[in-house]
Amino acid sequence: MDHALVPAREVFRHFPALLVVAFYLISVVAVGVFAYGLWLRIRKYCAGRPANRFDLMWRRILGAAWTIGGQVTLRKRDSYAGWAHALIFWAFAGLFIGTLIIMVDHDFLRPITPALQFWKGTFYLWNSLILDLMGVGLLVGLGMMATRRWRFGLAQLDYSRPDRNPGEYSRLGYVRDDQVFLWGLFVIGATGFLIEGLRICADRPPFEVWSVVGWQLANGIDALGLSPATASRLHLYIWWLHAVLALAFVAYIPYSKAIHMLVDMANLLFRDELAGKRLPGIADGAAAMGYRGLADFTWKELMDLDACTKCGRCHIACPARAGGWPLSPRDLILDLREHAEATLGGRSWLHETRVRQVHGAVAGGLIKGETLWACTTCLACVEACPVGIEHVPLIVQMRRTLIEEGILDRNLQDVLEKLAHYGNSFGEPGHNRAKWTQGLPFKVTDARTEPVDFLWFVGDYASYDPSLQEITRSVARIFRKAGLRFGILYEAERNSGNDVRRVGEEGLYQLLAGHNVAALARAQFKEIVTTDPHSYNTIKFEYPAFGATYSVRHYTEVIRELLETGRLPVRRRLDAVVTYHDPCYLSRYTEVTDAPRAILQALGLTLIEMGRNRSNSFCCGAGGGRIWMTDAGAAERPSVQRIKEALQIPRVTYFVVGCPKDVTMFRDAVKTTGNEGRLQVKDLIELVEEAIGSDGDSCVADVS
Amino acid sequence: MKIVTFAKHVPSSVVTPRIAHSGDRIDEDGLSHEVNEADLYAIEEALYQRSLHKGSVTAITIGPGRAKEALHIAYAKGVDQAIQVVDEALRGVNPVLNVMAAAKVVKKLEYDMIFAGIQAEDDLQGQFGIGLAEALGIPAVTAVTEIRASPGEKVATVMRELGGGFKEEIEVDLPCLLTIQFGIRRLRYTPVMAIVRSRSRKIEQVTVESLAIPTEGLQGNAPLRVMKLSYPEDGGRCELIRGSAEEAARKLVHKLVEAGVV
Ligand code: SF4
Ligand code: SF4
Repeated sequence: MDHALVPAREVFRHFPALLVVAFYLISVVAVGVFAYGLWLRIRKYCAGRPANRFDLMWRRILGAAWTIGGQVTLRKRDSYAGWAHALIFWAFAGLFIGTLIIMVDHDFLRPITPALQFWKGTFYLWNSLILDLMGVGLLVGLGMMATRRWRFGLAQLDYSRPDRNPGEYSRLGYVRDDQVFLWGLFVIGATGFLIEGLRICADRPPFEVWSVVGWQLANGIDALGLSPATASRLHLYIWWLHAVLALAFVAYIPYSKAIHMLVDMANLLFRDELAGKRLPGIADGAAAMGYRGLADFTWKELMDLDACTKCGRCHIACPARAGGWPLSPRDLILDLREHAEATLGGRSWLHETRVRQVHGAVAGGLIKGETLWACTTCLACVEACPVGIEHVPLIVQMRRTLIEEGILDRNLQDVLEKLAHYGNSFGEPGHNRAKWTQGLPFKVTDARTEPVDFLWFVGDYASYDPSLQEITRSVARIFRKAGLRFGILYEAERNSGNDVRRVGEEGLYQLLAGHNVAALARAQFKEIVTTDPHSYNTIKFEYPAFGATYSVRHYTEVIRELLETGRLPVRRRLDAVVTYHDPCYLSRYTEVTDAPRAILQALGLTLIEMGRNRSNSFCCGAGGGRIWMTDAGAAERPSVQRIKEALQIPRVTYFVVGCPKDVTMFRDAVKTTGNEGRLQVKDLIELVEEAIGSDGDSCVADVS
Repeated sequence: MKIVTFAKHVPSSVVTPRIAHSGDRIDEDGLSHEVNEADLYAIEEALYQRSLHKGSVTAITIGPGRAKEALHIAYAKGVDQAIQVVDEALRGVNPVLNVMAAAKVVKKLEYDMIFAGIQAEDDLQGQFGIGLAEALGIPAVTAVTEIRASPGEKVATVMRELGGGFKEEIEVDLPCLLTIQFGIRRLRYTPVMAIVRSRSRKIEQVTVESLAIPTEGLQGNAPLRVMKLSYPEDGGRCELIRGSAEEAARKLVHKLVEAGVV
């Protein structure tokens, strides 16, 4: 036969016609089941509320291609899992393309005219080599994943829930799904090699040395003493086993975690880069704010629910979970998914059993109030999630429902009422807002009446908290020393509303933000500088919705510039070992991580990083309105855990922060753990002032 | 069960009130207003009773145009109907007029119970509820801390807290008027959005004039007249004693002796 001369192989080797027909029939059924399952899911998403995720389509496509192709989010902070997944991903994609090539060549080109077929000769040989290597990649990747999952004992892969007692739920379905998925792929890959080996063993076409793995397997089979005739017969059986498993897998995809292959690509394509940073508003004329049920979810949010692979990265990143509150972002998504699958269809075959029935609103019912209130909106979950799930906007939407229903911590209620009346969370009269300036040897410019370069948005904590006011004055002194033309809004400033919005009190947010925007409109300035990273976020990302776009910087960014341009000369270099805690709202939200470090370096300090730094920082526990709530978690507070993390650094003396709430939280944590002698919490500005000198003179000859 | 409640629009503590030139009232300019807190408890309790016995809750305010805001809040809390008696002349601060106006309005409504706050923050008179019960000829119980109503039997058992932890249980026939003690149950949070939404809900308005209330004896020639308001006296003075511990202690003892405390 001439195929011995031109390298190629028969697709249906020695098959009677009936079996070929049977194969095509099974294929059609498998693809049909797959298509039906996929349609169920798509139908579910189509039932969602609209969300505009079709803007900047090219940017989205390129971004998603980069993330998926490079497996960027998967490799971040977990190279083992990332590379294992990359192997599986690329091998699977390659083998899939290899199968498509055969299909095109055999089922489309051959019926037209065999002259068009290209799956032969040199192409065939290279194809064989590459696919064999892909097959190895797949098996190695799966082996690494299996070892990781079942041998490493990782906390993120532990499915137990922080919010329920062990007897109240069963996640055996999830475990089975993992097993079926992983071992299913493994067996399909392994049988693929086996049929290749058997075929080569039976026919021994010399060019098949190119199928490196198959050839060696054939040698092994030979060594076992199998005759070519037996190998040929076995080949038929194993071929069918492989084919049926592969087709069953195709059918299985939309009913299992394997659907993540498709949904997660779409999810990454449609993700919102500002998820959590810029929260959705409320539709005009809405009967109530928030999410009461699935009908309120957008299609993207319904897709988010399906996208979760239970990788648990968010679960271990979450400070609320670590602090023993009944919240795991993973479980929140999974609970909503179970509910959506049960209600809207498109269900996975293996799922959590004994799921709670929901009565009334999802918020406060299926997802408990305590769970939703535990979130610090630190954004660690969104940042950690490799597949672009947006937990924080969902949590806030459900909190809005809790606010509507009046399910909230008593202290939080008091604070919201104070904010509504006084415009600050301290319940102090507005005219006391700038009282801190009275301790300064100069008058801070009133930006409402005099034009300035920098409008300093001071923020509630920095303005009203007596224990922080010295730090605030320090900022003022340094600004003055550098000769900045800066001013404040005095009593016209209100709480920025960042955390009010994240608490879910959208109406109050609108009031506060509207007030600030109006006050800012009456002032003349070039840019805004903030001391509070929370205010920074909302002014930068959310105030534009009020038609007000500003150039905003954190004070550390300004000071870095002043140091680097020599406008603030360092008089006394400091000598100490310090560590720096990235505030969530400065690192994950507004992405300022270099400036504080550059300042520390300029001051001569030795910075030693904690394990979790920059965008992987661990929340102090104050954000999202948590600082106003009183319920305690069952474990050590996140701020205490963080201090202990810092204390592992040898000779560390300063725990440096750049957020007023951090100063409060961590000073408290240091005190309650009795570590005052060992570690001092410092705002960056305190160190700057130490190095620059605190006398009132300006470094610049002409100030005003 | 049908319940009528009241919501007085009173100056809030956000802005410190200034006494008007006339000296007998506070200056309205620059004031900010809120719903009288005791009335909020009455409304909260009414809504709770409605959740138990079905029916409806009506809220009434008496005051100038701005007092409408009190009814927006009542709506946001969940009442079913809101009525404003527009009183531009006396701005809802005259207790006698308030009672007469309320009686006229309430007489046209069906009701089983009337809940009034125990007192208003602005005048601390505490007469409104009692006066209204008198004008309507129904029984009144004051300072109620717990209500168990049986609208079917037209009776309610209510609890009052007396001093020193003593309690008094009273059975009262319906219809009746109860003045509600602070803290009868937790005030639920009222979201700002809910208030904004309720701004578009219907408020029935009647003017004091249209109620044909005899006004003689209400203003200048009233049997009871506010003569003068005065500012709080400066509170105690605070003095810082400096020096070393012993020195400071010595000075302190000396001062206390001087002041006749020891
Ligand atoms: S934002 Fe932070 S606290 Fe909230 S769920 Fe995510 S990780 Fe947990
Ligand atoms: S939400 Fe994202 S990070 Fe969390 S378990 Fe699911 S896939 Fe992993």
